[in-house]
Amino acid sequence: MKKLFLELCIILALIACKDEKKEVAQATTKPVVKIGVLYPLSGDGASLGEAGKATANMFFEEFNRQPHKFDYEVIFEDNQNELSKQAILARKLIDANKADVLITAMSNFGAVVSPLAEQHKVMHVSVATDPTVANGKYNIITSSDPAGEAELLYTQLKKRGAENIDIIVMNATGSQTMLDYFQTKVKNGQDLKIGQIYHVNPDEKDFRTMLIKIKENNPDYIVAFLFMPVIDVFMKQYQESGINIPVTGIETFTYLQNREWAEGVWYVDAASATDDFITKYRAKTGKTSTDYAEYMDFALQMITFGYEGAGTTDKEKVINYIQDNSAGQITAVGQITTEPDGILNGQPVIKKIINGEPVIVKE
Amino acid sequence: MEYLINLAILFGIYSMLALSLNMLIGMSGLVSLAQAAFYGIGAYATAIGMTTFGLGFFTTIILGIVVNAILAFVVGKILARFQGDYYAIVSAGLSIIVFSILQNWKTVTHGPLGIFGIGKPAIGSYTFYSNTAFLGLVVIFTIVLYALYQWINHSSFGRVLKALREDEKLAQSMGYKTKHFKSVIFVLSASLSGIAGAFFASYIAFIDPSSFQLKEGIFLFTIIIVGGLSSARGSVVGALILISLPEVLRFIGLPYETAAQLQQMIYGAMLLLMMIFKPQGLFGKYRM
Repeated sequence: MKKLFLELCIILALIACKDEKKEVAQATTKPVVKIGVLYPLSGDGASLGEAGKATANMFFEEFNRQPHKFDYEVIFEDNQNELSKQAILARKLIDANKADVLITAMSNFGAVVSPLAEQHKVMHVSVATDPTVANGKYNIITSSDPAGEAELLYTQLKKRGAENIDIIVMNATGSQTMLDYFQTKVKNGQDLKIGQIYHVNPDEKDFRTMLIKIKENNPDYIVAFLFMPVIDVFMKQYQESGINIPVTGIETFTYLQNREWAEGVWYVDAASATDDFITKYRAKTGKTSTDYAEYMDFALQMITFGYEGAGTTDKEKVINYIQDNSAGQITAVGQITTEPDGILNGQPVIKKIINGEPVIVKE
Repeated sequence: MEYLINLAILFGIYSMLALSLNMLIGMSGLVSLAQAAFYGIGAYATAIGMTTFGLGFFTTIILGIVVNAILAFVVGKILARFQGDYYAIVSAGLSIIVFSILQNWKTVTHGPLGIFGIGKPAIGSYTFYSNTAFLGLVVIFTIVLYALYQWINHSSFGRVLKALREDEKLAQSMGYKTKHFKSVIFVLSASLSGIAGAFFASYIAFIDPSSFQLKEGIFLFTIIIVGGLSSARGSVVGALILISLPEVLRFIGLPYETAAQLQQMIYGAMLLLMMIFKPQGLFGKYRM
C-alpha cells in the first residue's frame, strides 16, 4: 500500500510540474491573465458546459483580432455537476494553474467558490442569482436580475387584469430565489392575491392532481417557476387536462424542450441574447445559443473590459474598474446595469412562444 | 502543493466513509446504499449546529453521531428483517427519503438553497483555518476509525458478524440473535459516517442536498468494491484510487475539445479492467 501511495504521489507531482512548464512556454511578451472555468462538461449538464466552451473560443477569436494589453488563457475544468468536484477543482485552478479569475455557473456552485476566491484573492465571476455569492471584495455575479424579472412579471400580470394566481415552484436554488423575489414584490404591491403555492421536486412526474385542484381554485393565472426536466412533464399534462387557465412564469419556457405545448404563452425571461450574438453563435456552432453561452460571453466581456480598462493585473483595481464603469456596456445579453457589491445585471424581457420559438415582444 | 493537500483532505473524508461502510458490508455482508443519507445527516448537523446555534465543530460531530445513531437504530430494526437484495433496496429507499427531507424541510435545511458559511474546527483559541492543519485533523480521525475497524474486526463481535455474513441461519443455530448484531453494526456504521459528513461540511463551507443523493451511496459502494470488501486497507486504497484517479487524468494532456468526456471513459474503463482482473477488489477478503 505504501508503494502504491508513493507512486500515486510521485505521478501527481510529476504531472503537476509538467503542466507548469507547458504554461510557461505558452507565455508571450504580454502579461497573461489565466481564466479558470468550472462548468459541467460531462454527464447531465454537458450540453450547457459545451455551449460555454464554444462561446469562450468564439469570444477570444474575435477579441484577439483587436489590439489588447493582455493575453488571456482559458482553462476549462469539468465539475460533473458535483459540489465536491467544484471545491477541489477551484483549488486546482488556483494552486496548480495559478488562475487569476474563476468563472462559475449556478448559485450553489458559486457559493462553494466564493469564500475561496476571498481567501486566495482571486477574482470570481459567477453566473448566479443569489446575491450572497457576490459577498466580499473579489466576487462578482453576472445575473439576470431576479428582482427585475419579478417586477416585470408582476406588472404584466396586473396589466392583464390578474387578481388571483396559483404558483407552482420547483425545489431548486434558482426557482426558489425567483419565488422569494416575486413574493416580496406581491407583498409590497398588495393587490395580487396568491392562492396556493405548490412545491414540487425536480423529479416530479405527476401534476394531474395538482391541476385538478388548480381548476377548482380557478385562479386568473398559473405562475410556474419550473425548469428542466419537470417543465416538459408539466406542460404535457397541462395540455392534456384541458384546463383553460393561462400559464406564465419566469424563464420557464426557455427550458421547455417541446415548445409546441406552450404555443402562444407569454412569460418573463432573463436578459436575452442580442440578435448579433445569436447570429454569430449560430454561424460558429450551427446551434441556437443558450443561457450558458450568453452569460459566458457576458462574463468574459466583463473580465476583459476590467483588465484592459484598468490596465493592470491588480485584481482589486480591475474589480473596482468593472464596478465603476461597466453600467451601460453592451454585452451578449444587451445593455447592463450595476448594483453595489459586485452585482451586474442584464435587463429582463417579455417573450412569447410563436411557432415553437421564444420571441421577444415589446409591450 | 495546496491542491494536493486539498485532494488529501477529500481522500481522508472518503476513507472515513469507506471504513464505516466496509464495517457494514464487508464484515457483515449487509449491502447498504443508505450511507450517503447518514453522511448527509452528519454534514447537516454540523452546518445547522454551527451556523444556527453557534455550536463548536466537535460538539456538532457528537450531535451528528447521536442523530445518526437514533435514526439508524429505528431504521435498523426494520432493515434487520431483510436480507440480500431486499436489504439493499430498502436501504436505497432510506437514502431517497432522507434526500427528500433535506430538499423539502426548508425551515431547517434551507432546502435547495443550502447552508452557507460553515466554519472551521477550533480547539480553545486555535482554529484550524489552514488546510494543512485541517488535513492533520482529518488524518487523526481517519487513523482512529482505521484502528476502530481493526479492533472490531478482531473482536468476538467482529467474528460473529463474519459468521452472519457467511451463513446467517448457521449463526442463528449457534444461539446468536442475528437481528441484534445486524442492528448494532448498522447503528455503528451510520454514526461513524456522520463524522465524515461533519468534516465535509466544514471543508467545503457550503452544503446543499445534491451532495447526498443515492448516487453518492453507490460511489461509496464502488470505493469498497475496488479496494476490497472486509479490509480496512482496501477501504483506504479504494478511496485513494477513486479520488485521485480522475485528478491524475486531468493532467495527461487529452485533446482540449473532448478531454472531459475522454477522462470519464478512461476512468470507467480502468475500473472495469480492475474488476475483471481483481474481482474481489485489491485487498478483498470476501467476494459478494
